[in-house]
This record gives sequence, structure tokens and C-alpha cells, in this order.
Amino acid sequence: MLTTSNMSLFGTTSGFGTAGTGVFANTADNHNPMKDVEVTSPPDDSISCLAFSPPSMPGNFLIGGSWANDVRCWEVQDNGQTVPKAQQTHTGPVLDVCWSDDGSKVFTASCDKTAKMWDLNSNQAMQIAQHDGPIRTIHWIKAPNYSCIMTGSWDKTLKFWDTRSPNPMMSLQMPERAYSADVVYPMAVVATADRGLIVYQLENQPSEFRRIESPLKHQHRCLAIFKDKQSKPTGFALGSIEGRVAIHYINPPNPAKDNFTFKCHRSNGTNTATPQDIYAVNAISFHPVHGTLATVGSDGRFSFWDKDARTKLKTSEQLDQAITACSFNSNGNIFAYASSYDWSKGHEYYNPQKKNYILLRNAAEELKPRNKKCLRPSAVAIAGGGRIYRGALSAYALLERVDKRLVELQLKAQGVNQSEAEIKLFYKNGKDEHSAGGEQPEKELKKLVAEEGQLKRALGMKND
Amino acid sequence: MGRKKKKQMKPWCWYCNRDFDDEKILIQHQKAKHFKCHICHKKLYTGPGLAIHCMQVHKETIDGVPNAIPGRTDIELEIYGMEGIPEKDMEERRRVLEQKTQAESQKRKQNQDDSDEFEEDEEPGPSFQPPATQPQTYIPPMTQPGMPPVHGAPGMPHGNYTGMPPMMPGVPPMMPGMPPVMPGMPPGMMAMGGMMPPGPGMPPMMPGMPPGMPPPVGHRPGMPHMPHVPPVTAPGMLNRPAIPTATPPAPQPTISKPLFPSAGQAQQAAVSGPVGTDFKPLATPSSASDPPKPTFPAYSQSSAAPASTSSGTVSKPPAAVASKPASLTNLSATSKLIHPDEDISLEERRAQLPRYQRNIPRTGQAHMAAPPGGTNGWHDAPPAGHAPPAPNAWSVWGPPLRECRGTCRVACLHTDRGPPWAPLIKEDPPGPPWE
Repeated sequence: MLTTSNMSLFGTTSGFGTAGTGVFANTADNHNPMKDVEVTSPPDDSISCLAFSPPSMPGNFLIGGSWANDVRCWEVQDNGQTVPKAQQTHTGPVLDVCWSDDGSKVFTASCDKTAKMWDLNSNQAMQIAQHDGPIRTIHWIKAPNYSCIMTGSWDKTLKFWDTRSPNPMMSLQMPERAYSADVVYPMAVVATADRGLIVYQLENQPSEFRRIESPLKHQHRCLAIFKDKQSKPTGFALGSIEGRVAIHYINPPNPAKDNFTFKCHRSNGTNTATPQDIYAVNAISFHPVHGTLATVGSDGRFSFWDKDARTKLKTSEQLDQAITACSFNSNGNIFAYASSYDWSKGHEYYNPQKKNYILLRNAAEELKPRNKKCLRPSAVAIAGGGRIYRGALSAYALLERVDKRLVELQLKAQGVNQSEAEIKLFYKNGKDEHSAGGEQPEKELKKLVAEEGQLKRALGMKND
Repeated sequence: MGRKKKKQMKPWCWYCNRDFDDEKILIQHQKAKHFKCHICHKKLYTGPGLAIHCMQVHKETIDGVPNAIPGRTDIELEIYGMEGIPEKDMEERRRVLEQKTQAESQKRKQNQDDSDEFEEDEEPGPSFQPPATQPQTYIPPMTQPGMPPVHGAPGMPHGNYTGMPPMMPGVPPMMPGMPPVMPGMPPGMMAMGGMMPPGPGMPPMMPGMPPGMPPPVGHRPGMPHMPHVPPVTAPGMLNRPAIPTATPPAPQPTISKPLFPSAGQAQQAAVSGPVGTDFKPLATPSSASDPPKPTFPAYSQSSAAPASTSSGTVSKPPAAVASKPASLTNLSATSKLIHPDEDISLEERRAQLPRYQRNIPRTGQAHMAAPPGGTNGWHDAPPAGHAPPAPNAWSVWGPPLRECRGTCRVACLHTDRGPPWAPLIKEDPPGPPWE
């Protein structure tokens, strides 16, 4: 598949280091294989974080922080055009940004050990926090009785600031350096080095709620809280450097069943000839409407997932650089992702000549959860290359993923009315995205029709 | 636990002779390993299904089931889980099982591993691991002699297992006609290699552990660097208690069904199973012959000293390095983590570079010592050197944001600040913490 060809693109640069820019120039430009909208005037160094303006703000504004010490603000217009609006700088790389809930301010966290508040109305920025180490995470907390800024640092503290005092309102010690965090009132979760996970409750005032044993076996890298149907935070998704994401509920009715992990951002899925490359999950973002999630990885792909159906909705083509950050806008129509080097292959692969991109994708459709009921039974018919197997049927029944009766009904319908339209429908719904590399649907459809006899026979098999 | 009787046969894969605890897992295994289209990775349901798919979709004929052991590659046979297995193979299997269990019952006194609680996540690790105590006759002869060293217990008293090896070969290949050595079948360990926290490298191996090994719980002499890898750190794997009292013949690791079969499916196979004849042939020998390595030897990229050129920005307590081998990147030969070995984040690594440091002013008071990690209570715990919390000292930094009395709607941080932070600062928090 495409993986291999793109891999060589990375591969050819090995050993060249910064001198190998010619290699990139000669290869086909692959910075935007998904043909998404490019944000104008992207930062000059790797993009570390992205954040869209909150729903309280009319319009869409995108903030991006970078390793070039700057934070930029773009307006994203409805026609997809992006207009650079303003910029602020730190004295060190910016690692995280967040918005206040009213959208008037942006908070930035930097390696220079400070956090700043950027008032967008006046375009003034002032320091609001100080740590003893680089600040890795910054979040706005909006509680009924207070609002504040939470900063997590590599100095192993989590601090809360009221933006006016040079001293934190509260400073909580953590066992390790903060690597990632998320806040959805009244819950905050911090992922730390050494695979630490700490949940905080924010009601009345922040306090540690629980430490959680990591569901992952490798270094934590990114974390995002998800909500239940009532918009209450119920758990979080945690990504590690080992191409894996854990879905973890805080208080699940059945922990063994409800919590799970899945693999992602790995190369050549089943090709055993070459070692499988496993990439870090750089960021996770939940869709604000559908509750599905996006992961972006060092492999230069983004993927969309439905954690409830436990299915993958989409995987992108491979970009020529890692994807380092992503964000959905407030209504979930735009998915922004940043393509830049993430240092996962070390210094020698860093190519300062290579441009960084922020790309915008229409996320309205692709993140919709699929209708399972359509998908599953028809997949059964497709599964056997047109033949229906007893096994296939019982497989689905076994997996408890589908109402067995429903499957039988559908199969019957399929067996009895072999109208082309119907098969087409089946095919469409049942089409497995992993087989997308195959032939034209029409072609396969023809074959399916040709298999009609076999289908019927198979159905008979089932009935006996 | 250990309650299995030999009369009831556990599910096993006809194509590769692997054992499973649950037919659902077996079916998934077969889909991933044997019925997967090598071109588009579509998972089919049976051998003939695969053949037809390849013929129709890709115009290719396949003449054998992928990853099957010799003699079991018949693509025409319609086998699904345990259904459709030829009777003679069933018989043979049964016979072999019996002999095996008898042989085992004399030796196996412990090594039960069960009660994995975290196996639901379709990780290849535990759930796909053929339990070593499973009666795959031809496995023990080849793997077990090689295995004790891999257990990564260099300090393990040798006397403990010098007595062992003789016993291992004592398990003869009982299946005539079976190749005595299955290069493609690294038992258990391979799968783990891809997955396990490379901590002590030991507990995960449990299933493959030869009898007579001390159970991997408790202290491990000679592994000084692992003090911080108690069983809790890697729930899925390290937590297996070895239960010495269980009945010998039939340890039965409970394998719960994987909960995310569809999502991870594309990637599942590569690391999932230690099966398949033509699959990862190298891994077993290499890892098996490397006794003294405490961590997994398979992926031995220099676990270089973690960027010890460290600057002031990121200071790690030295103990940190030693105490957490657990998240470094030791994977099997079949996969490679694209991430530096050091257990620091990419950002930390990068931030240490001079180019990102030069503009950062040095703060005089920046001492990075980790303050003693007390429990995080309510109280402010300002690091030493900081002034005590002075919530109203905003004037130090200039005027506050515009004061507002609820009139400004947009750019105001103060609107909803009712009874603001006062309670935070007091010794006694007024409200109960959340229950």
C-alpha cells in the first residue's frame, strides 16, 4: 500500500541529516495528500499545539503554538480561507495553548517556564504563571464559583492561577513530570512521565481525586477527556508512544469490559517481511458533537475512531511529516491538524528547510458514527467473497455484535431478492474500508451478482 | 483456575496448532492469521472464502492457507474455529494431549498463570499467548531448553534450573511426522516481545516458564534495577500470580474476549500471535539464547544514556532512569518503536537542544529538585523559595484586569467569581471535597 512508498521517503533521508534537503526537493510533494485546506502563514518551526475558539465566540479562530516561540491566531472563514490575525511570542518554545471560555483570552505555556495570558481584544500579553521548569500543559478551568488557569510542568507540580497574582492559588505536587492533561469541569486528568495518571476533581476547589494505574505499558504522550450523553466527563483516552490508545472510564460499571485499548499509527499492518514500525500517538481530540475521536501520529497519519462501536472510521493517507497536533472547532465541522517534525526520529531527521503546515479538513461527515445494524450483516455477505458461510453468521452471533435474527433476516432478503440495487446497497454498507485498495465497487458488484447462485445455495446451507 | 480436565479439549487452531481458551479468540486468530488477504488485508472467514476473495478481487490464486504449518495448508478445507477439523486430526490431537498431560503432571507443580484481568484489550500479549502448559507436544522440546535464560533472571540461582534442562528434552516430540522444531512458533515469548513492558522481562514469560522455576512474584535476586516494577505497574502481564498449588496438568489462563476486534484489526496480526511457520523465525533463537539480559534482548538498540547532556531545563532525578525501564522500547524483532529509547518525552528531548534554550532566561531560583512528594492535599504546597500564597498580591504584576461589576460580558475574567478563591487559601476548606 501507500505506506511503503512513503516510508522510503523517510528512509532516503537517513544519514543525510540536515544536508539531505535535496532528497525532499526531488520527491513528490506529499505534504497534503488529503487535499485539505492549508492555513496561511504557518509557523516557522514545528507546531506543538492547536486550539479552536470556544463556542461562545462567533466565527472560528485557530490558535497554534510552535517551537519557534510564537503563538499565532488565524481567523478561519466559512469559505475555508484563513486570515492571520495576530501573534505573540515567548522566549522559549510554546508547548500548549488554551482559550478562556468566553473566547476573549488565550493562555500559552512555554518552555521558558512561564505562562502568558493574551488578551485578544487589546492584543496584549502578560505573564500569569511561573514554574521551575518548562510548562507542558495549560488549561482554563471554569467552575461555578471560580475560574482559573491550571498549569502542569516538568517541575512536577500542577499549579492553579487566578491570572492576577504572581503566586499560585494552589500548587499540587505530582509524582512525575506532566506530559499531557485535559480539563472538562469538574474533572481534570494529568498524564505524567513514568506512566502516571492522576485524576483531579475541581468542584469547590481542585483536589486530587484518584491515581490510576496506567492501562498502557509505554510512555504517555497525549490525553483527552470524553463526555457521556449528558455532557459529563466520564473518562479519557490516553495515547502512548507505542501506537496505542487506551479508553478508560473513571467509574465504569464493568471495568474489565468497558476499558480497552486499541492499536493505531503503525506501519504495514500484517506484512511480516519487514519489521513493523510503531509510532507515537501525538494527540487525541474528541469530536464535540459525535463523541468520536481523532488520533494523530508520528507516522504522519490521522485516524478517526468510534470508541463506542469500537471501530475505525477513517485513516488518512500518509503525510510526509509527522502530525503533531490536532483540534476540532466548536461545532465539529473543522478538523485542524498540524504537519511538522516531532523529533521522534531524533535530531538527524530534523530538516529545518521543510515547511510546516496546518491543514483544515471538513469533519462534518467523516466523524459520524456509523449505523452498525446496516454494516454488520452485509459484511457477512461480503466476507466470504460473495459466499455466505455458516461460520460467518455464527461469527457475528458469537461476537455478540449483532442481533442474530437481524442477520438472518437480512440474509434472507439477500438470498431471495437478488436485485442488483439491493446487493449494491449491501455492498456499500458492508464495504470494509480496509479493502478499499481493491477494485471498483461496480466490478465487484458484478461478481457478486454472478455469485447469486452460490448465495442462494449458501443460504440453503444455513437453513438446514 | 486449573480446573480443566483433559477430556474436554480446549479450542485450538488446526492451521498452526495453537491453543486458545476461547473459541471466539480462536476465530479471531484464524481471521487475522490464516484467513487474511495478503493484498488488501481483508479478513475472510474461511480458507475457501479467502481463496475466492483473492481469485475474484485480486485475480490471484493462493495455494495454501497463510501461516499454516506444513501439511495443514489445505485451502479447500472449510474450517471455522473448531468446526470442520478433520476427524483424524482431532483424534491425533486428543491422543497427544493425553500423553502430554501425563508427562507434564510429573513435572509441573506450579507455573499457573491465570486471572489476568486486563486481557480484554486485544493485545497480543496475554490473550494470544499460547499457554505454555498447553499440550502442544512439539513445542516444549525446542523452546524450553532455551527458555530459562530468557526469563531474564540473571541472578536466579542456577542450581534452580540446572536441574531442569534434562527434563525438558525428556518431553519427546510425540507427534510423529511433526517437525520437532517449529521455527515459526516461538511460544509465547514472541508475542510478548512486542508488547510487554520491558521491565524485568520476566513475569510475562510465565506461561513459557519451565517447571521448577521459582514463581515470578516476590523478589528477584540479581535484578536490582527493577525495584519499581512491582506487579502493579503492568497490570495485564505482571499481575499473574504464580500459583504453586494449582493442579499440575492444566493451568488455564482465562482469556477474556477482546473487546475491540474490529478497530484494531488492520494491525492486529503483525504482533498478535506467535504463530505461523513462515513468521518471525528469528526471534525465538535470538531471544532464547541470551541469558543474562534482564530486559528483552530482541530489540537491542542502544538504550543509550538518556541524553545526559542535559541542560538545566529538564532535570531528572537520577533514580528515575534506573527505576523505570518499564516504558522503554524493547520490542520484538518484528516491530520497532519509532521513538527514542530514553524515557523522556520528545518535547523534553527537543527542549534540551541549545537552539531552543538560548532565549530562555535563566531563573536564578530555578532549582529543579523534586520536592518531596507528599500527598496532594488541599493546602497550598508552594515549593521552597516561593513566597507564601498571596492571592491578593496581584499588584505585583501591575493592575488587575479591568475590574468589572458584571457589566462587561466578553473580556472579563471576573464575572462569575462569586466567592472566589478565599476558601482555597484558608486552612480549612469549607466545602467537603467531592465524595
